[in-house]
Amino acid sequence: MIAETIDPIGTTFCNGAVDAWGVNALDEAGFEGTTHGLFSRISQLSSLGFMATALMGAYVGGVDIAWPWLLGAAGFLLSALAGTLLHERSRDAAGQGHRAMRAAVHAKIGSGLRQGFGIRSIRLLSLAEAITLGVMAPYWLQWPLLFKDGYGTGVWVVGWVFCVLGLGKMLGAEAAARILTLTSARPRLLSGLTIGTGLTLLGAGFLAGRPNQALVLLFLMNAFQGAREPLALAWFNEEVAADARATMLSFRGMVATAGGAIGLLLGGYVTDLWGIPFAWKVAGALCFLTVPCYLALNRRSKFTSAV
Amino acid sequence: MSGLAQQVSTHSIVRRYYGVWLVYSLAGGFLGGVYPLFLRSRGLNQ
Repeated sequence: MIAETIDPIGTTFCNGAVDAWGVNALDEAGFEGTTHGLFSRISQLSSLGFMATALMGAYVGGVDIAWPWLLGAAGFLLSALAGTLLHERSRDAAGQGHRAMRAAVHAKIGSGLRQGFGIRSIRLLSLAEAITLGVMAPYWLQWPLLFKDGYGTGVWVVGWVFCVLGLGKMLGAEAAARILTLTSARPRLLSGLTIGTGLTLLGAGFLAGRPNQALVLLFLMNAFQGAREPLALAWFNEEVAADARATMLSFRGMVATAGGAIGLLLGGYVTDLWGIPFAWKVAGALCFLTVPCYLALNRRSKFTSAV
Repeated sequence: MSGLAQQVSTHSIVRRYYGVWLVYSLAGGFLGGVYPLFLRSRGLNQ
């Protein structure tokens, strides 16, 4: 439980900060490419990294199920080292005392929450992420159990299933990178991708007893998700000003994590009562709740970052 | 900043941005699939 508490804190600190650093640095350097193309490539690299080490983790886990934790910890230490080497400490921050730093952090958290809840587009896009993560979080904990039992083999099969799902996500991200979206078409496109995600998860729930067919549907679901995520992240980034980006991305991460936590509790309860297939059917149907969040932003001012 | 220098700088930032995400993802993947199995092996089956 202690490890479980520390892990999301670290994750929340990292996710928003890395993206904000990258996007702000590129803005300052005059980057002229599309942000959703950039996020699509990052999604593909992430999928590739996950696939490679998930496969290793599954084989290592077959020997001793605790060893993947050690490998993961070593990897995170390595990425922390890489991040530290790339980090340029600002003179302002270096010169501040602890008290001033603490006051600045408190003020930033307060203003971040006010901004996040105060701007409609930020609120709705964050809510959409919360619903999506709430729906997907239980699924991520359940598919390894379902496929390991369904195929009746060792832990290694989970690594290969992970690769299939990762490949689906990479293909989806590739499609997103090639899509030239008009700003006005974005709500409908994201709604369509979300409906696709919901329908395929719903279908996987009906076919949970047939692993091969369920895997095909989950592959498609990951393709829809792989296309949706970079488009949604690019949209969110366009809604915030550069100086508020790290805070707003962290706000988005915080709201999504809260959605994930609620989803895990409710999903776990539903699974206990009626089993994994039924929980996936419910999750697939709940995916559709995201659609109004996107469509509500159909008519609005083009830029809402006056924060 | 000249066009070429700007392009070099942009490429360098993109490379580093991709690099950090790749290393971070490599670390997270080890537990990706086996985590639920780990929980179940330790008796958490509800």
